[in-house]
Amino acid sequence: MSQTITAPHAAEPTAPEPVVKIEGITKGFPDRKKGFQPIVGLTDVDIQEGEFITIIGPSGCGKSTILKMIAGLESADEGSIRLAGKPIDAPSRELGIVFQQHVLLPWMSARQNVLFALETDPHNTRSKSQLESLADEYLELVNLSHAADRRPAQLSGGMQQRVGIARAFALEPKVMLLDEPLGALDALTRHELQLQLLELCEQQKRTFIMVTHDVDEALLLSDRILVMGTGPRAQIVHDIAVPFSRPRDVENLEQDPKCHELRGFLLNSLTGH
Amino acid sequence: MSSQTTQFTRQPTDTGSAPEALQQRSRAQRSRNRVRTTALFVIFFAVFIVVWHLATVGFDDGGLAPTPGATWDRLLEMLSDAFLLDGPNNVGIFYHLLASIQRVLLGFGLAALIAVPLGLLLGTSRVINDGLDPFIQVLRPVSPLAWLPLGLALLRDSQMTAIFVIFMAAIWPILISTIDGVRRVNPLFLDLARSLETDTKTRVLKVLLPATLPAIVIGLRTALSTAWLVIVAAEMIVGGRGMGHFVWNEWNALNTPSIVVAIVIIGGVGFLLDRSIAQLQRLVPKS
Repeated sequence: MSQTITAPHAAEPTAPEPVVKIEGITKGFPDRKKGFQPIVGLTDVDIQEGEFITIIGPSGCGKSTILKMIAGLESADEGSIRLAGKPIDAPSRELGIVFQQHVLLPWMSARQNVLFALETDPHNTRSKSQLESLADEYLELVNLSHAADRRPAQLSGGMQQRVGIARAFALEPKVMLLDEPLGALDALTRHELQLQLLELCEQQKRTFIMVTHDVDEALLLSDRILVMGTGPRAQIVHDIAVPFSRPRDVENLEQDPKCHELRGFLLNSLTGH
Repeated sequence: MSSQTTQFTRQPTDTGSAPEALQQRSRAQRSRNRVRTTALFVIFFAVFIVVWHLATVGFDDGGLAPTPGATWDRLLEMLSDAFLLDGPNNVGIFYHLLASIQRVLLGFGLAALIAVPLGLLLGTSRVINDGLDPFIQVLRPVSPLAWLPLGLALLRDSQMTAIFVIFMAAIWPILISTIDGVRRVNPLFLDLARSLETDTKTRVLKVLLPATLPAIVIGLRTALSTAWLVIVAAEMIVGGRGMGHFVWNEWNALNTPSIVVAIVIIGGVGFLLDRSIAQLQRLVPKS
């Protein structure tokens, strides 16, 4: 039969349709001196609903670029990325992004920043006061109710990032994209936020795609870890299922010999031995 | 922060009065500095008057050099006649000043109305900018006074010409500063706006404009002080009322003390205009 439109995986009804399906994407950037620089090599990934996926890799391997392509902020040179069957060709509110540095509008308070994300919804049917209480709800979720009226400049780095997380959750997106969300924080705040994020993602059942270079963060949070090789034309070299049951506990995890083993394996594959 | 970080508690100290003492000391330091500054200003001012007096008194020029005494007398005279309106040739200094300020604010306001939206457009669109940039680069270094005869010829109105010249003086700093400001907007803000699927209107008014505002205010400040510089020269040529016209008129009457008074007034008003727009700068949050 000659069909122009076929649902993906129509032939295998047993396999659930992935939320995000990445097929054969590559990406490079033009460089004035060196010509075209390929960054991301052929990459295929299927991400199932409710999965927490972490892409980990050495710096410069293009892991952030992959996330940007999923977010629709960059387009792939080849291949396709689909969200629930539909190709992603532009940014969408179904993809909530948490950026590496906080991207809070400095002239707005924390509450206004979350509210801005809610108000800009073209399909919004809720009243202003409903949106306001919704914004407060999401700030409460990240324990920031007391700081809702502060401007970003009056918040610590960890608090700024929590506002960003609250804003992304407030969109109620199909997929949350986290681009090294804790990368710019000091060690103590980072650890604290990792635990908070763990709690949040177990509580708010969503699909997460995170990019990080922190092995412990990846092991603590993810169901699956994709390890990227070194560039140019970096590819996914390992696809590891993380076997720990949820809800997770840092202390149990730290004593688990399987965790040590995985940690060692990840560190080795990242440093290229 | 959540309770996890509170395990490190600070030991209580009994130095509760120390900050108070420190504050007092720094307050005393500040007031001492203020006294010193004032004293220095008074000394410099006295020295300046003495030097001025010595330089002008006994200067054999038929009384053209303005002495401090003559200038002071003239100042009092001009202030007492400030609101005089007695025929076209006998107008108090207040009305000259008012005329200059009006022209400057009109020309400056028009320039801002055009330059800010144009700057936002040029800052966002590489193509339009590259097409228009040569015009900006060539026209910007031209003294706004060069436009004056053209204004007179085309507008046939001295008042409109003066405003046009101010417009030409004020538009470039605002335009260039706005374009530069747009380019410096954190690109992640625009990524955020795109990821929220905002429409163009929201993107420009709620994200781009507020983020560019600090740069726009800097441009406005430069433009206003440039406009105030240019208005005196423009009014010397177009005539009518205005500080420039007043200065030129007093020169024709060989009344140099009036010119000194006018210079002080022009400087003072320029300072006040700059201060008022600097207040605007404080209201704008930095990005």
